[in-house]
Amino acid sequence: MMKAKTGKMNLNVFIVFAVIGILISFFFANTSRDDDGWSGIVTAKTIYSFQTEISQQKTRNDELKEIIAELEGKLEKYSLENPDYDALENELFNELSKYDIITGKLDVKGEGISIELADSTRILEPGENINNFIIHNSDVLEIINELRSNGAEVIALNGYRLTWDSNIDCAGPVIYVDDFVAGTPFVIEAIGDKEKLYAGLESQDSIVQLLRHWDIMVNIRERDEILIKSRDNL
Amino acid sequence: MILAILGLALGVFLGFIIPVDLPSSYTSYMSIALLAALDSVFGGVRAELENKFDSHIFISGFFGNIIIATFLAYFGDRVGIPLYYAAIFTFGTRMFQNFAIIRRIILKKIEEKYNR
Repeated sequence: MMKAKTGKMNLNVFIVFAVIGILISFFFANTSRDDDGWSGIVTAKTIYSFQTEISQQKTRNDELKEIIAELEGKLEKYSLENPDYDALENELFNELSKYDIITGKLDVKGEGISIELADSTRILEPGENINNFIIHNSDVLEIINELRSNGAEVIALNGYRLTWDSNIDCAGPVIYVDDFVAGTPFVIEAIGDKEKLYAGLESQDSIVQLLRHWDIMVNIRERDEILIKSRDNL
Repeated sequence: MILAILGLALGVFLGFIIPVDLPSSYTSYMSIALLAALDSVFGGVRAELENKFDSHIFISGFFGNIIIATFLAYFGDRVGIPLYYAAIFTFGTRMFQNFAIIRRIILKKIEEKYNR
């Protein structure tokens, strides 16, 4: 009786330890197999962060799929049986000039606004910081960013065309835009929907209001025709 | 004892050759299951030393604990409450308690042998 019981018990122990061994080895096999940056136990938090990443990638995928569909539609248009070469050429030319405008290789003319900025002419009172009353590169940058986010297509500073890779830097009393030196008064010209640009700059929380608060002269004019030329060093 | 080691060896061997690739999101459940299993084994050792070992209780506790712990962890993840902490705390504290008792019993046995 006792013998039989111990035999059965031993079998049970054997099974139990076999199961534990499988569990342990699964664990080690899996943790050592993954060597792409993952180590340790996966917690709910990391799973959550991975999930958000996945959903982000999924939306990105959807966007890219839309672009693919658009491009495929374009491709279909190009590969007709009897292509209308004039129309094709026209379309390609339009596309080319679109990219030329973006890269700044083409002179652009159109409606837009021009902004004149000049340092404050007020006489400083004792204790006032002059830095508050002059224009900094960051102010110009913020205005340009605001213009961009309001839909400006082409922007020029003192006649210097800004491209996608232009950078604005402080250089003492003047500011550098790439290699171009711009001094006061700054004239920023932007081509785009002039009413929208104007309204954007004149809105309550715009940087322009802050500049005006410091008595910096900001003069915004809507213009029906602005010509922004390409620049030489492109 | 030998059977236990043999079983462990067989299990490790099986685990390494079985070509199952566990998704890494399930490894947390796996660790909970492993914790439950180890807890049951400690409990079994303790019961054996206290001469109260019952293989039915051992086996049912072993598999029951694994299943409940894993289910709790999974359910907690679904509901958004870290329920696997419950399993970790329970099994963790119990494992240490069991180990303390095992230690005491073994030390007492050794002492008796020594004093004789």
